[in-house]
Amino acid sequence: MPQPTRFIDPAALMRISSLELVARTVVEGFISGLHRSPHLGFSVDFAEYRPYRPGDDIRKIDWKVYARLDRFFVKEYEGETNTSIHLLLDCSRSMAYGSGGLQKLVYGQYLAASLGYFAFKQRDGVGFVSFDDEVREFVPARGSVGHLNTVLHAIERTAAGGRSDLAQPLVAIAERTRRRGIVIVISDLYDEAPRVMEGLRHLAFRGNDVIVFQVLDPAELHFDFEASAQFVDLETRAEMHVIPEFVREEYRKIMRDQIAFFERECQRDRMDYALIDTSQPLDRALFTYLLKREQLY
Amino acid sequence: MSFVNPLFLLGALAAGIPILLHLIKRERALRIEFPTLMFLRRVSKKTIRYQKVRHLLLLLLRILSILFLVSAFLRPYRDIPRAATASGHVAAAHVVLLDNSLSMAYADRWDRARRAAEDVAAGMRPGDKIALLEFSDQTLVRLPLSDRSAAVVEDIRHAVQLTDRPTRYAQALKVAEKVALDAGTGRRVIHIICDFQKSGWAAEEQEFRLGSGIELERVDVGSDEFSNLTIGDVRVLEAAEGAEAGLRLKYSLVNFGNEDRRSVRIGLALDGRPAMERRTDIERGGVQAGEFQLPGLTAGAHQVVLEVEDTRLLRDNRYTMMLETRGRTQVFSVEDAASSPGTRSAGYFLSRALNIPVWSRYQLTGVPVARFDSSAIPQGALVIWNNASGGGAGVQKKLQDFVGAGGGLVVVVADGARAADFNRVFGSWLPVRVEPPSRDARSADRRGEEYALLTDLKLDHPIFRPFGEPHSGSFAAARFYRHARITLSEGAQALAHYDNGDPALVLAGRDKGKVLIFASSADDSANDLPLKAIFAPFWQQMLHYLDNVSEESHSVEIGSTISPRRYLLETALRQAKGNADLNQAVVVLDPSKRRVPVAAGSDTVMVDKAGFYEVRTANLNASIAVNTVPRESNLTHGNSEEMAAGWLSPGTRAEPVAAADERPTPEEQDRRQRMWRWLLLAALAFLVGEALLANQFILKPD
Repeated sequence: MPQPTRFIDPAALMRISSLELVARTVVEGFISGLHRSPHLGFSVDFAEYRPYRPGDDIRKIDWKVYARLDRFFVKEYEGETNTSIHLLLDCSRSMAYGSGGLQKLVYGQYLAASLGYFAFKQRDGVGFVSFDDEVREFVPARGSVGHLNTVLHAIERTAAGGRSDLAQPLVAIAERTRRRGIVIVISDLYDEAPRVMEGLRHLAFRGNDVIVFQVLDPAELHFDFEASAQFVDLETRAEMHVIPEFVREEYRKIMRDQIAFFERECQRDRMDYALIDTSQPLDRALFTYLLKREQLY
Repeated sequence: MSFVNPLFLLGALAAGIPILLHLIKRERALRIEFPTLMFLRRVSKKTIRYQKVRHLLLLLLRILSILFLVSAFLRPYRDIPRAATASGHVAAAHVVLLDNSLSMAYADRWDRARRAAEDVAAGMRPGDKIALLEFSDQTLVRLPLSDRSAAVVEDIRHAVQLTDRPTRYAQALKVAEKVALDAGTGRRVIHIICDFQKSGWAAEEQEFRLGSGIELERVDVGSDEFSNLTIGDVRVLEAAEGAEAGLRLKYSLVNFGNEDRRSVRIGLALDGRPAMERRTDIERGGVQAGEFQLPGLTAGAHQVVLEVEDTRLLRDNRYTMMLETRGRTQVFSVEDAASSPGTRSAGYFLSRALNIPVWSRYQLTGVPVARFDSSAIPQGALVIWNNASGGGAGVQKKLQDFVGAGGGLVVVVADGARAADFNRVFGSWLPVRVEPPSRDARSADRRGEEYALLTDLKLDHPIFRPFGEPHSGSFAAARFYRHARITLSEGAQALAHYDNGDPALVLAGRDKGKVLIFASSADDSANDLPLKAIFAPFWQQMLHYLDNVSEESHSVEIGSTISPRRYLLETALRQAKGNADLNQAVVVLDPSKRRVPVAAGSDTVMVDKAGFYEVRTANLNASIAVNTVPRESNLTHGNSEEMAAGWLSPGTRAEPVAAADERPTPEEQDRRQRMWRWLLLAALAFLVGEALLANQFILKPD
């Protein structure tokens, strides 16, 4: 019998009001479904003591052992290999689009919350940044229990704002995250592709491992509109009369080229890229994250 | 441009429907919020433009189809009452009527006429049209109405030729009128270019008038001063009795015109060789008779040409004729021997009727029945069984063989007294019987004044055909006191009857031969026909029929229609070529030895050149002499002004183009309105195009 919480339809998650509960539902369902997975190779259990070696952080010295043995020992845990996870959520106006009721922004919030919760479970420090054409909210990465609530609340508060301009806020975020870690960018990447890559590269140059989740609605991917219509740009409010059947194939090609561009460029710059269809469950994003996390350590 | 159904103009409003639909559809378009238009903007503008163009094209096709449909129902027509150009010039239709009859060959008339025709073509103005017609007694539309004046000039210079045909104005003007009327509206001008020859205006055409509104421009190339010689009224006579054997050729030399001519040479050529000539003087307007004594000609057909020397008009100088000579046909009258010396034989009147020195083709010889031997009769001879008695089986066989071989036989049965003899000799092989005399038969005694009359003649039969014309002889005066009562069987035909219904003359055939049975006597014993003037012609005709002689004419006139096969058939009969196969191809050559096309399925040819036509098959050859029409040689000049006035309708000259005449003919009206068909077709084409384009949008979007 399939796990009840696994592959939860994103639309179903919308009925859960608490973002924390959403995150827990997704992550625990995900973990329980993966407990036999070979990817699950880390632990937070005590590993060993080892003698202090010059250069070790003196804060890791177990002072109780020193009191008893008058020796410096450093206590090591498997789980102590934690890192900082920075969740960057695009809250530009274009993210407010959702053809099936579930907006990309909401989907991104679920994704960010789930990733944050998941990271917290691994004792990674979690930070959160929302941005559109500038940084809207910045929550630095910390690993305390209370901090998770802060992050989740920040995620929940995020609302669609202004126009997309990914390059500038990404550069700014790169400047502000001094500690290396994993930077997860959740965005529709609706900006000039070279400018987007420029911003992402700034993040990567700072020593971060960058994971890019491009969140797109199925309507954006397939452009399955039937009747001719006046299309209104969510960000600029510009209008354009479009007969879908005339432009569909060319639109799809342009979209495929755009996605291929990001895939190719991210791979070249050692960044992970994943296209997330908002009609699909969140598992794929979590897998991507896990895979990255495992590669790191 | 006007419309037959102008109310349909309201239908043009329907053209707004597609536009309205397009606008409404556009206004009601959905508004869809979309994250970004940047990708849509990148979609090829060319594609979008193309699609827009296609949409506009679709809209255009719909509008056009509606407009054309409405236009078709409007039934537009051209309404150009006066084809006035911007300069005020009224477009005209010029119909050039060029006379190419024989008389136009006189002096320089033809050259002047052609120059005049060229001048008309050169004088054309923009919008004018011109047609070229040539006429004699036939009219040919050489170039129909068009604006190609250069083509008209070209035809005048190189294509139009003089003919030997006579002039007929009325039929030419009728054709020209029809061509002019085809021009529709505007001025219609007929340019008649001719010599206004008086003889071309026949009395029966006096009533002809051109339709009103047609102008007539005349170019008169004729003249009151002329002189033309021609030969006519040629007759062939046998030499007078006692003269040397031969023929006399009488002719008339006519001097049309107003100039005395001196020492005019007249020549006679026989079979292409000059035979004799003479010179004579002839006064203006005079007719002078002449005669050539022809030497004894060999039997057969001869080409004879009489030619007068006249350089001013060469085409009518020659008179041609075919002259056929042959020996007299032997006729044997088989009869009983005279009962006593000094009495007239039964063939007495026949010999008087047939053995005349002039005009008769026959030489009658009496043969007693006892000495009759058909094997001794030469080929081509005829036999008259003249109420002879006796005759056994041997005679019957001989006569039967004679007729079966193609011989001609006349059996005379005076009355029923000879019935037994007749039935014995002829009853077994001819489909006739003679009834024996009965008691109630009419009296044989002339004193009783009981007689029968010859009536009910078959006038369409060659024997009686010459007597069908008025004053050509009457049989009514002849009284038949006695006659034989003949009963006919199948195969016999009565050509004449007595007034009591009994057959008088019966035709019966046997193989190739023909037999005529005359139910009375050939002398005056049973009737008084021999005492009547018609006796000799009647017997001549009967023998002509048996001898296959037709009333040949020596020549025909231009414009006649001849049957080449008939000529060949007559030639074959005269030459005794009974086995001539006339089913084979017949070739007709004109005087210039060019082959005359014979229309498929037609057995006739119209001759239009003077001279000798030749008709040929593989084994037969006949010549036909063709002469110009004598009246065409009379160049008497008419008053062109008077003639033209006679042709024009009253008032036409005062008001050349009457408003009433602008009313088009039904054909013209139909032609003007024909545009609706094209409009309907165009509308359908647009609808088909719209359907195809629309289907492409639906089924195969880009």
